[in-house]
Amino acid sequence: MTVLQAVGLTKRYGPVLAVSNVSFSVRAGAITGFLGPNGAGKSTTLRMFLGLDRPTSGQALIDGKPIGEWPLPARKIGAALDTQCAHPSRRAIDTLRWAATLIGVDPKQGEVMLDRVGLGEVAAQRVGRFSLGMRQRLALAIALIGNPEIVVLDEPMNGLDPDGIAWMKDLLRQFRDQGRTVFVSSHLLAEMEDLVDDLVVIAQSRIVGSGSAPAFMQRFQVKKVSVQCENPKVLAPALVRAGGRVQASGANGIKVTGLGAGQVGTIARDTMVALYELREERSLHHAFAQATRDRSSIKGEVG
Amino acid sequence: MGFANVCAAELLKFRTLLSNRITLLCALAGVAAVGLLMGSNIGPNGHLVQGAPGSQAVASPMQFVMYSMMILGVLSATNEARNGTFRITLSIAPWRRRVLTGKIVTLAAIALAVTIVGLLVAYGASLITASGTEYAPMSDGGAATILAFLGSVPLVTALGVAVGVLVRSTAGALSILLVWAFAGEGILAIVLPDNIDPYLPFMMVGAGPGILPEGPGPVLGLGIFALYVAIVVAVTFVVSERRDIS
Repeated sequence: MTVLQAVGLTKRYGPVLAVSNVSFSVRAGAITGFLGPNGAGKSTTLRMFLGLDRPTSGQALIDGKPIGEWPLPARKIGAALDTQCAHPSRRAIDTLRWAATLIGVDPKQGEVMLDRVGLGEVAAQRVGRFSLGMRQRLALAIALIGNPEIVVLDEPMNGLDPDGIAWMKDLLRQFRDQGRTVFVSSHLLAEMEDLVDDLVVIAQSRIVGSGSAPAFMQRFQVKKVSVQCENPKVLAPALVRAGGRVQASGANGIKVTGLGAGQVGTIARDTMVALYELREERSLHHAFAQATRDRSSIKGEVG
Repeated sequence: MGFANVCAAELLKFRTLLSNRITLLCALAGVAAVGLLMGSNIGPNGHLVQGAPGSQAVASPMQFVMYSMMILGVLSATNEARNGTFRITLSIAPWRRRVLTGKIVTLAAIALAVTIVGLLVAYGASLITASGTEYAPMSDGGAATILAFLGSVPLVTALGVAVGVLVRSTAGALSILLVWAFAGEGILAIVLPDNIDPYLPFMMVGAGPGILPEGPGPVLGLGIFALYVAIVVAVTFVVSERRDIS
């Protein structure tokens, strides 16, 4: 079931085309990563879903409707788009209270949410004293105050230390386990790799791929095999003869592209070279780099 | 999520900023101080010794409340634009007209409440130092001058909110409003014919209409001022409905 859908979404700021004819969908109950380099159009797309930016053309739909057509939007979608989310002179708890009042939930939920994001002990502090990471947590608490079905986060790992990043990932997994949909944008590919179920990849204002994360990696992954072996001088020419490209990597190591791990293993057996390590290198970063290398030739659904 | 929620949230936003409360307390302290001073200038006939009607002993101090509320109106809008609160509000309640109306109505209601308190403080303070005279500020048309504040202060506050939303910069919005009110209209009063300059916006509200010999007077002046404010608010609605919230 699709809960977020962009249909031919375009946003132009004067001469600048920020988002160009973007179409994708986000399925319910999954963590979907919205990946792209800085300036690719991620934040603009998210703002159009929330009704903050008006699309030049196209539609951003939440469960089939624009956000403004939902009677209680904050029950449907909660968003943390920026760490700049509260008056610096206002106490954190008061920030949550006015948001709760606006939504129509018990203002006491503010304390619950601050506890949930680990800010319970500083609830009475003014937001101006908060670090970037604390503001990130506060923005998340505001997003959650309406107990939304869909959580949208823009670069939530920014400003968090390693413990904070691990905490954030656990929290997002909890949301998924509760049946919520999480749509999270980031340019930090390494942090997203073990988190997301699905991907939407944007570069230079256009979608270059979307669908399941494994399928995306499968499609755009460069076949690269890392080998540690007894005798690279014997193995390497055999790999080249089989169509592979070989690059030395340390005393006993070679990196092979153009051949799969199985093929490399078979060739090593045939040439009587003992293997110490045989590892297919897969990473979101490599797949992303490959996918965005020639943006114009790669479009559409993946997987 | 109704209009009442928007207003309640706006009230909470206002109440939870210490600077707002301090500004209002300072304004009321200013009203009391000027009220005492003006009361001490009331002559035996109940008028100010300088000749102005006794109602000015209440009206003049109320200028503190009027301009303080205008500034708070501006800040309530520009601070929200600067620190992201407006974006959060609209992502929770993505109905710009409803949110903007709620903000204006709430700030105007606060202004009305503060005006009532301010009028009582000004009257009480002036009464203390004017004892022994025939001081009766509500007589001789003074009631209209004084009670017009119940409309003008909320309207000036609404104007502050609207200009703040339009300009989105505290310095810009305050410059426009204060320079216009204190310098612009003063210069125009010199160059415009005498029968026109009393119709300049800030000439028609506050203490001025009670002492200006020409012009529409406090009640009609308030009505015309309301029209000016309605035009600015309407422009603000149109602009804010169309533009992006960054």
